[in-house]
Amino acid sequence: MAIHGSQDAKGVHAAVTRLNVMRLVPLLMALVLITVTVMLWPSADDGGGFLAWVNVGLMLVMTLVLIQYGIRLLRETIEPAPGSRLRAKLVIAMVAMLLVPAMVIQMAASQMVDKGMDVWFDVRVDTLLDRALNLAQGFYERVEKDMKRNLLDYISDGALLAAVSGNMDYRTSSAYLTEMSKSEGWQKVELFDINERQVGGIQAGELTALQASPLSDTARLSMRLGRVVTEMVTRNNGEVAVGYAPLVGPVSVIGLLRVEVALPAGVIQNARSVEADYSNYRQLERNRQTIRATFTHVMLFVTLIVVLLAGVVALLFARRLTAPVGDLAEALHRVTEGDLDVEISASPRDELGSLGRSFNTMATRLKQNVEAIEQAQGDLTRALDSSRRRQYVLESLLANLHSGVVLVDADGRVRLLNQAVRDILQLSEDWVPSADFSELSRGNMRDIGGFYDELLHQSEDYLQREFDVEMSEGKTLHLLARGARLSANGAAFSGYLLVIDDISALAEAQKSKAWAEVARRLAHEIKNPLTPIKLSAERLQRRFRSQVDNEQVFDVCTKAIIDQTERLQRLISDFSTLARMPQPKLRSVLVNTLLTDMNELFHGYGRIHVEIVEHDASYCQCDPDQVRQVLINLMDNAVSATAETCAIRLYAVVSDEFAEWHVEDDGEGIDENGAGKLFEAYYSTKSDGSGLGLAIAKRIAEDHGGDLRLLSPSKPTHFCLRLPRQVQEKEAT
Amino acid sequence: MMAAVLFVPVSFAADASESLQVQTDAKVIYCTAQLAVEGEMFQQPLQDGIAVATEWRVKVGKVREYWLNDNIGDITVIRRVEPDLLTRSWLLIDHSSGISHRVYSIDSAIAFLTSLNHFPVLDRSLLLVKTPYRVGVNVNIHIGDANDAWWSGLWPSTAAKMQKEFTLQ
Repeated sequence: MAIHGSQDAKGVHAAVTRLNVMRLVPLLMALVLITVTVMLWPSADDGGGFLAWVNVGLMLVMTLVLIQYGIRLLRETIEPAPGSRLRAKLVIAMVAMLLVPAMVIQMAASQMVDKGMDVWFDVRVDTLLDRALNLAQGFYERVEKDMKRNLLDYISDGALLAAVSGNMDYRTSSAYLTEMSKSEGWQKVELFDINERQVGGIQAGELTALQASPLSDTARLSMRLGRVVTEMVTRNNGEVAVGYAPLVGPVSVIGLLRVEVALPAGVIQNARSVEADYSNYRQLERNRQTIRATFTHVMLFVTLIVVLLAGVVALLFARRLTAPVGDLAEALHRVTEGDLDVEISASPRDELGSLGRSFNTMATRLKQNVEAIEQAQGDLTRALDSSRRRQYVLESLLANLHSGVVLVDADGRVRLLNQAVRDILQLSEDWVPSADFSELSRGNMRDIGGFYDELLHQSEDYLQREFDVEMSEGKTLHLLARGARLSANGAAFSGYLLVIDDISALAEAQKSKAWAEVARRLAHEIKNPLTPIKLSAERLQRRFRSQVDNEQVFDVCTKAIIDQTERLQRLISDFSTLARMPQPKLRSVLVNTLLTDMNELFHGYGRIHVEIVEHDASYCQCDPDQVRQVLINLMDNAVSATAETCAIRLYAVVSDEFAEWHVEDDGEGIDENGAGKLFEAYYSTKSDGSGLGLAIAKRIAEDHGGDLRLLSPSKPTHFCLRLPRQVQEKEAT
Repeated sequence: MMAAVLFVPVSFAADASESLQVQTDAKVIYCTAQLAVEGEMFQQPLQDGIAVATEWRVKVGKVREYWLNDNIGDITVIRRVEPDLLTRSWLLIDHSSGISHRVYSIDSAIAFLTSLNHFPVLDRSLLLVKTPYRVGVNVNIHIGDANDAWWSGLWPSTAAKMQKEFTLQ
């Protein structure tokens, strides 16, 4: 793995390096281009002219574009648009592919132009043209020289002088001129006097003009200087050699002879061709550098235009080629972001189009799967919510249920144990149920464990038991336990359900009710005969005491009958009271009033101390007679159960909700067994007690919505009567 | 394109010996300008049979440094010399007037190309007295046939520039 990781890191490093180098390609190309631009910068004698500046401008534009793109690449920190890199690579590759052959072609063409120029402007061609021109020029010189030599013979010709002077008639002079023309080969001969007036002339062939053409500056110059002069004149019908010879008289020039010879057309045409070719050659030679520069710049211009066009075409082609790739990358990015509503537009029917269509199919299926997953997730969420609500209801129900519920699975592991179980069995707060129920079966849970074992090993599916549980504080609970075996048929859970109810109060109430019924029956069946029995015993004592032999024995017996009868009457009275306990007549009573009553009633006992809070105006809604009866009972029990030296305290504690009367004594106290049965009817530690006092007192307290409890069995023996200060209307009724 | 490129205008550095003078008479403003160039520049092409032309653009304007609408009038004069190698003569052609004549001295041809003598430029009535004006002469030299490339008008080259300020009294 480490080796693979190292190789991956090297691969990533190489890719990053390659990417950084690729980013520098446009700038490197710009550097090369700007170097070429500087090298080709036009100078004054370069000859490139306007085209050179156009090329420089194009190269500068391309350089700026490359620099701008290169800088953008270098400053690019975020991921570029999908496909842009591929597009740039394609454009660069295509331009480079075109640029290299274009540059090669340009260099080859330049070489060819140089070679061609060397051939065109070869020294032999130069010499040849010079000679040809010399030949042509020689022809013209020869014509002029011949004409001048011939004209020199006529400068002082007597006939011509006579003709110019007017001493020869026209016919004679014309004949002389005709003869002269024929002998010299001139096509036209004209005579002018000193005033430039034509005095004679002949012309070979047809007459071309009625009037003689005026003398040219050359002719006048000839007369002025007295020299023979020739000139070449180009006319519509060809070139003509014109000669002027001054006619010199005895003193001065008196006239001018003008002759013309038409040059041969073929020779003249060839001579003019030679001259034109020579001029063109010299002109080309003079512009040799300019031609070369122009050719170079034209080629460069064409190359640049081709490169630019190739770049544009490559860009369009690359854009068209990379558009599907960019769309695909963008679509994948959106899918990565979680947007599944992605569809690539219609693609060409090629590999990229097939890829796009496959992507669309994949996206559609992915969307369907995600929707199905979301729907399933929603269903599961709703089911989970419903289950949680049911669980919450069940937990609330179990938490608020007064019946303890224990759920044990088939493996004996406790799966559920509600708060009521803790409350009924007084499990401590830090008590945590262990997994195995058998391990829980100790302490207060021991009897529950026994019930579970019985349910576990019996053949029936249902079991119900009532049993007493001895609590750690000596208190005994009467529990009703019901157990059921949960079948695994169909249900996902199998095990045992234990429902535990504390029916101590119910049993107590049933017991009280039973005692009340017994009391009612006893009162009804026993109370009536007791009075005649007592009266009869008293009558026997009065009438037959003197007649018996042993009066002492008789007195003892009759007294015993009377005492026991009275005791039975009291007992019957208590039973009657317990059976027909009247409803309390509630009214607001000062708590201190009851304490004051007790203080007055028991003030004879020095060891009784009643704590009365002065100026306490706390009221309590109660039946004062019944409460007074309870307090008397408690005080009487304390007096009778303790020695003369033991102190007895009575005091009240008033809170916002309750009023409490506390009776404490420092006597021997109550043993553990007696404490549990203290409030049961017919339980008494006194020999002459009916055992109904505390039962009646507790009944009174409960009828008030309060409670009578033994807070401490000894040292001190502490009873507390607690009554609500405001009794609810419903409870009162 | 090759043919057009052959006849691009030739540019030369301006010479300090160039001169421009303004003359006036009662009705017309004249100018006399002399273009100072090396003799070889015109002599060699003329001897090689290459036609040479000088284009004189004479402009009269107000003396304004920062305003473009300073022009009052301008005129263009084209002088051209066509050599005849066979007769060793040079045909001088003034395209403005259409007058031409042949000379047999190359110095006359060069003088024809490099000087503008007492050339009428503008009617005096168009100018105000005691107002400074400026006469500017731009000279372009064309060696070869004067068939310039189409783009030469976009970026005209100037062989020489002369300026002269004057004020009518």
